[in-house]
Amino acid sequence: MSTPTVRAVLVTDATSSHLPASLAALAQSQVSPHSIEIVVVGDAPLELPPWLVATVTRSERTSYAHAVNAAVAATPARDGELIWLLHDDVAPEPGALGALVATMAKRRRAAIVGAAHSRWSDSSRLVNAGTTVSRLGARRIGLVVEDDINQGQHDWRDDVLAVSLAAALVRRDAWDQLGGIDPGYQGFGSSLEWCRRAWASGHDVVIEPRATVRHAQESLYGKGLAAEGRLATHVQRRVGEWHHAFAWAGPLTALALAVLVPFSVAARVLVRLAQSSPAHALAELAVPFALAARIPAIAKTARARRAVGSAKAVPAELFAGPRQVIDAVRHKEFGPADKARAQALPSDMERAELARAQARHRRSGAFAAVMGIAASAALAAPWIETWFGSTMLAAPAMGVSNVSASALWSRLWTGWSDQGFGGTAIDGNFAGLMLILAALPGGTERGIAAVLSLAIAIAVVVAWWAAGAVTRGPWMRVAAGIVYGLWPPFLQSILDARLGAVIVHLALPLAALGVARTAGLARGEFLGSGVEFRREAPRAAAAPAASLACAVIVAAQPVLLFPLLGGLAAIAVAARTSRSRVIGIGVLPLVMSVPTLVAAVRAFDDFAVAASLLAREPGPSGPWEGTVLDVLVGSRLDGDWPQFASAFDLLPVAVLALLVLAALVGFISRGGGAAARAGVVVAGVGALTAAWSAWAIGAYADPSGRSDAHAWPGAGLSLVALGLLTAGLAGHGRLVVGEGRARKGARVLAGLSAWVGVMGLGAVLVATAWPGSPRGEVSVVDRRVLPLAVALGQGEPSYERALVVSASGDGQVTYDVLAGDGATLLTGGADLGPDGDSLVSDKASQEPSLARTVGELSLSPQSDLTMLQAWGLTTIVVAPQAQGVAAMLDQREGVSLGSGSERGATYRIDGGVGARAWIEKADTLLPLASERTRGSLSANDLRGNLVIAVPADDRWTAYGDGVRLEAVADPYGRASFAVPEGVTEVSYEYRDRFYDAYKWVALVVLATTAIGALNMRRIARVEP
Amino acid sequence: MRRVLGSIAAVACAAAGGFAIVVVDPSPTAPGPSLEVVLPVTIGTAACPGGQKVPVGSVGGGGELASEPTQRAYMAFPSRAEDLNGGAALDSDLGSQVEFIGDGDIAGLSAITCMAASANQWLVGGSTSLGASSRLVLSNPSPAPTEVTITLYGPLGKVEDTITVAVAAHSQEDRLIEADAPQLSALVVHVEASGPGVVAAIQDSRLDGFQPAGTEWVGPSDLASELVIPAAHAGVAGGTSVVRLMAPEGASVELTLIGAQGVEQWSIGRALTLEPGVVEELSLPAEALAAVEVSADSPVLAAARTVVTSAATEGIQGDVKSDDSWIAGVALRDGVRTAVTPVDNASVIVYSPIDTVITFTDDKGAVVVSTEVTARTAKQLFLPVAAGTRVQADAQTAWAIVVNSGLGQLAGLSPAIIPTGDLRADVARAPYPAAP
Repeated sequence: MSTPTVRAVLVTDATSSHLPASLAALAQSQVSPHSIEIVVVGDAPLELPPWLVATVTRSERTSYAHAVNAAVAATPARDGELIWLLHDDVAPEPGALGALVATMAKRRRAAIVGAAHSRWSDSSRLVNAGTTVSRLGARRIGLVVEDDINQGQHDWRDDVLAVSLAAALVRRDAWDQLGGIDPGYQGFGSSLEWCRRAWASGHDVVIEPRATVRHAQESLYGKGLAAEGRLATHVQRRVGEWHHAFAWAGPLTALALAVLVPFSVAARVLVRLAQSSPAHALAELAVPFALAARIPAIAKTARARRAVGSAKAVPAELFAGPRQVIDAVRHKEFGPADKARAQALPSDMERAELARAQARHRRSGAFAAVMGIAASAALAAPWIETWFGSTMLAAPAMGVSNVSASALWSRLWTGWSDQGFGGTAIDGNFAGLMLILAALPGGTERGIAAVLSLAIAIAVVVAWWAAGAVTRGPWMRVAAGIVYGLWPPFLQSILDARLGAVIVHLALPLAALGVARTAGLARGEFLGSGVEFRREAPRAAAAPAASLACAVIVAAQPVLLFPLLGGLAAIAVAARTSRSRVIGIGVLPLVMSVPTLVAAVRAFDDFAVAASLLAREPGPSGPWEGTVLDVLVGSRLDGDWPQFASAFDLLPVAVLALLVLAALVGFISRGGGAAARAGVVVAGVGALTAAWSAWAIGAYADPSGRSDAHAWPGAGLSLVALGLLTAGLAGHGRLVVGEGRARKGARVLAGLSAWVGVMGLGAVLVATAWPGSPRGEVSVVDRRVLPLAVALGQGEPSYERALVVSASGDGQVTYDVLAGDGATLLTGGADLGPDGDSLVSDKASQEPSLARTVGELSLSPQSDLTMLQAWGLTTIVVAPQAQGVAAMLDQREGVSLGSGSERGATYRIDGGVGARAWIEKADTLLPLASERTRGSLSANDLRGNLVIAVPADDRWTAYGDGVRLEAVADPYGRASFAVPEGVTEVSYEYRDRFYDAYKWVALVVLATTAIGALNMRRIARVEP
Repeated sequence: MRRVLGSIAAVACAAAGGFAIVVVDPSPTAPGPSLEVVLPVTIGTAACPGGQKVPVGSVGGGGELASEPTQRAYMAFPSRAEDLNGGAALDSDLGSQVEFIGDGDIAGLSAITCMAASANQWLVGGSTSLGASSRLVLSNPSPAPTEVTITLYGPLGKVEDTITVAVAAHSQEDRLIEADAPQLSALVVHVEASGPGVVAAIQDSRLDGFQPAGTEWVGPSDLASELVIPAAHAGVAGGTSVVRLMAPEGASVELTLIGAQGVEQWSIGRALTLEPGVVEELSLPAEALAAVEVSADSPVLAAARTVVTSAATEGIQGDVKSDDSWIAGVALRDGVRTAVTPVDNASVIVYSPIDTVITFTDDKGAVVVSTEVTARTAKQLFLPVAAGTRVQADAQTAWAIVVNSGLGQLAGLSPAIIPTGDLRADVARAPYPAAP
């Protein structure tokens, strides 16, 4: 046996900052290699230290693998030659080569002996001591936990599946046999490939943990790439893993892997999003594409492996079992977060103080919750029966609350509003919000009853929670929560069932808290010494959570879009960190508002219409009287409190004045700082928004009689409350600690003022809830509004509408066209301009007015009902209070009484077709089986006219035997299509292509944001 | 600098917001663009209740003191167009009927104005106490059926149980109220009908022992805070009158007796308090022609019954029989009151709250009679026209036709206001259900 010859081969581009140290380490090796060859890739000049004896060659190759292969092949093999493969970012410890050579001498079958790698900056922390893969080969697993401190705990290892080629000692004969390094891996996975080939060729692969090298891992951290960091090489590493798996898989396994890839990518994307790491998620998304581009290289790898005869079985124990895989994933994904948390643990003394503070906050939170529930119970006691009984809440602004989930889903998913005769709507985001309530046990009606009944309690609790970001005074947080919960405009919104404004009031504190936490502005706990304990660091998951809250706000009240975006931009400018995250908060609300913005741009010829459109109320909306100031000081609540002294009328005004004063103090005090200034800005913007709403028309009158309604200013006024409280609390934030008579006096004064405000608004609540006081427009009605027979016809297959005629108290005859059991204003109507034209579609005809027909019907038993039949209305419900109308219908021929009940009398018009769509033939009408936005019919020869009882719009399309039918003019403005002779199958549907594209984009952004808000522990950035 | 700029921005923003909410005054949102639909009035079909019936059927086999009358004469104007199970549908929107019955339990003179169907009627009159019978007659001349809900009110207030009667198209139903609510000495009936409505009348027939004590039809009364009973006393010598009052929601009522010379002394010293639903009767201190003004603080119903007695023609010598008339209280309003005279040269008792000239015209517009009436007086005059003539006068006055045979037989009928001109409906679209 000959003495082994160690030939060190170091490949470098001569630009690495670690190269001098690497060369120095090489020179200090206790066992010197017999020769040192330095292969320079590229044109960079290389200056060798004078004490280093080495052969320098330049290589035309551009990759490490090619360069090494070429360098090794350039010299004929010697007997017993060992190649020491070195990188320019690897610095061997002095004894490393000796240990490697010794091990190689002992392990005669070993083709390679690898070294243990440690951090460049800390040689005690290991980064690699052997590698394995799962049986499928698609996940590479290090045998040491990254950054594990080297205490010799891995010294027992010898045989491993793979070692890093960097600083590994390789037998030349094995190298030649196995064909060198596979360049197809592009640097990530080539070590594994070479080692696995070695095993499969009858060699051993051995790790020598006592041979340690410092490794800067420049390739891993993307040195020289546009964006450095592990993320920069994430795609290549993942593709390298798949490359290996496919290259070593049989045909069936490869097929299974191909199926597995998209699932793996999807799962990884979800996890990355949940970790609030969208960049990683994007990188994961790129993997399948990069993998597809790698297919030729994979095939080449597989061929090369077969060519060198690597066909023996690799010992099974070298692969990672399931438990080892799970353990590795846990360490890799969550280990850094655990470590960071452990490092952030406060001292024992701090922890004790923090525990006491937490206990105080828990008590104050519980007290706030109790107060909120008591206030809710006082106001909502008459509504409690709707939680359990057969009743529900209804209001003129909201209509009935028992809207089905399917109706809400249809509204959300199609963009078609089914109110009245229907129409194209801007978006269905509010219906989406209501869908959440519909998913609750008991359906939408109980969800709404719960929201309105508990609105005060929820507002108190969320405001208390959010107040913690501004002040750490536990009882001041309670006071702030109660003031916010009893905010007079909010009470009015509840009592009128203005759900949009209610939802905004509940979501605003959450959004504010999320923004504060994203920007790292949330105040930390004060310790006894008066020092603020670690102001909360920016939280990645807070951004998507805040984004969701903002999206809810914008969906409920689009008028807040621009104030929110403006606020986020201002905070991003002011914040020193997390600017991109703060700006990112606005992405979801902005995406969700795209249809609104597009419609506003389309309507910009008329500024008033465009401004009104931006301030529209997509859900419950209705007229209101008074001024914004009236709403602000709750004058719609008082004035009718005959049981109480007139001084009560001044209470809301006094509380508002107190709040303004507190904000002013916060603003001018030193403690208030940026938060107080931000609060004042928010209050000002809120006031402007409220004025904008009140000036704008939230819902234009429709041609059939519904009146114009100025948008409700409640949302803007909620912003005012948030701003004033923020400014006031900011001033209090610094008062909670500190000694001295002045500071104590200020604390007492602030506390007294706060609780005076609380008691003032408490008195307002008591007066409002007092028996006999006016209770707004919400009423408790029976859960079924129309006679049962009507509801049966409104479902499948006809989906017919019903005409409901009633009478108001002043003798006015009123009517409504209902596709459901009562007016479902919750879904939001079609968006119409001041002249009744669609604000969304240029080609939509106007909804017909039935006022004349209804008027004549109510006056004469001989009136013409053709209009009703033309629009598919054959069911007329006469409300109990409209007996005169019933009298007329009773007397007329061609109308028969179907049923009578306490919910009204139902009449049927003879000879019509009660359906959503039908085919008019010469002698008959054939109804189609319909849903809200589609329908079909199969029969022999359907020649005639397909009529859909909706205002004509090019978004309605029809097909006969799969061929698109031609739209024809209709005297009633309905969607009508000519069905040619011989057609046996007709179908129609509503399809808004812009809305379809929008909804998918919005859904993806929403899902991404929602997953990001899950607050999974994120991957801490690991530095080399 | 950054802080200063921030502060300036904050103050500017707050000032702008405050200014905006003070300045912006949303114009009140007008009610929705409702549509007024106008149609010409359709002519309704009037219906008469038909001849009177002996309430409990034939008692005795005939001869003296037999229940069933043997002498009767019935006339309807204009003549009947269709028989309604005993009633008569007329080929007109207004008519009248008069019936004379010479013997039997329901001997006497009766008359009523035949009107078109209505959904809501108050009938003030009748009794179900011993010897009295109230037969409610419901006529439906329309081609559609109707369901009638009857609510009774008596001296003890509202009778809780209502009565529901279905009346078929072109049909008539009657009901003896004493079967449902006996022993109500004073009765008010509220008739509510669905669909096409109904024509309601009460046959108020009474017996005093074996002698007839009056029979008359009771027609609808107005429900209003200010009423006038123009012939509270029909001006029949020896006649006595009572005024019947009821306020569904309760009321404080002032009554003023109006004689031929003006306001007459009649004071109970205070306003009369009517409990809700309680029917009250007051004797009228008048022995001659009189009207009554009723003034209340909430809607009230009123009618007056005049009773005249005469020597009985059957039975024991010295027995007396009596007959009566019911005149409903009416509210003065715009328009004209119309009646069809049941007899030739009919007697009319008129009242006006102001000095005026009351002019009666026939359906061709020709003046039948015109007379000056002093404010707040009751005055009798005669219409020199034949029976069946349609006459009308200003509805700002109150008047009633009294038929007096001079032989102790008395009847009265009140004119009706017939809707003229156009029917109007204010129509608007509104969410259903509406606000509470």
